Amino acid sequence: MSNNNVLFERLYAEFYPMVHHVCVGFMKGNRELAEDLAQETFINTWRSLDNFKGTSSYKTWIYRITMNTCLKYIRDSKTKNQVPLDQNSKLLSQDSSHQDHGDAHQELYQAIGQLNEIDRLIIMMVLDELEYKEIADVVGISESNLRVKIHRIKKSLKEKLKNE
Amino acid sequence: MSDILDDFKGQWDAAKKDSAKQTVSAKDLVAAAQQKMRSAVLMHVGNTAVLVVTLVGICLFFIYVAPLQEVLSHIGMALMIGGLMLRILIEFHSIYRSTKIDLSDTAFAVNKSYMSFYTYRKKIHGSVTIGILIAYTVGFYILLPEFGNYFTQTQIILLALSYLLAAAIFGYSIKMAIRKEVKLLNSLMDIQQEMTDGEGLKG
Repeated sequence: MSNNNVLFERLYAEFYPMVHHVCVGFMKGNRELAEDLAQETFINTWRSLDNFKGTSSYKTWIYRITMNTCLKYIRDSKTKNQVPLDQNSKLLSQDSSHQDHGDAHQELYQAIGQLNEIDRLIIMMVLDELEYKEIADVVGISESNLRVKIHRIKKSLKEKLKNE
Repeated sequence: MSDILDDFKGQWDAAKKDSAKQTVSAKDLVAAAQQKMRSAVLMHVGNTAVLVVTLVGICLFFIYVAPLQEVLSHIGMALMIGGLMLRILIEFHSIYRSTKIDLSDTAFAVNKSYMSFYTYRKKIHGSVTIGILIAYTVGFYILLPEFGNYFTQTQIILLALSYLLAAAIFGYSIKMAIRKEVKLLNSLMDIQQEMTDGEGLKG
């Protein structure tokens, strides 16, 4: 087995739960789509293995790929005839079979789901306790910009929840 | 972490425990990745192959079916063959550029790369392809007078009409491709806007 395959197996075993969880949050609790997205993320991870420069941790690196794969999904769904995410979550709420054990966390996913895609991904990294420096490194913005954004996201979340 | 996120943090951690285990083995995922890479290469090769086959077909046509002799016809042939060759080169360059986008880079950098790529694609499908199509069309109609030495008048009329039909279909496909690229670009610009609505950025 090649070195890349050994490394990939290790990364897949270690980070799949993290990636899957972010994808579930990004997909507003839709576990079927999240599983596809998580697998797509790891396919992209395998394809990017040779690009890992060691300047960040594997966790940050995989977070970058996850974020880019999620954003790519959104872009593609806007141009292809895929069901948009908002519509997906509406369909989901009408079909209880899709919700299974995700039901208990629906409140969380619905709250996060009200944010735009970038803010949603940022807040999930905050919840996952990534340091601000790491999050800034995933998104590619300065730490000070990130702090401003997180402040705005919190404010926006508070207002959205108050209006419910 | 204080305030509103405190409530979410507890729920987030609880949800994380429920997060699914892998349903696909790493080995199967590697196989899927390899298959996907092969399919992408085949798709690119397929698109380019259509252009290459057309180019070869036209060259063979001018060699064996209608070996045109007049200077004007040679100009027409040069316009048609040159246009196709330019389109093939551009297609190869486009494939090369698309493979250079590194999804493990920062979201900002990847978004910027996609914007640059789709701006380039929009240009190719827009002014460049339209320019090539015009050159190709002019080249084709320049050949028609000398075609009289090889084909009947009815055949020439049919050729001219069928070219018009093919050009119309091609023009429509260009329009659709541009529309798709504009949509993608708008989406990328929205994301860029969301990312840069704060202060200074790092590259």
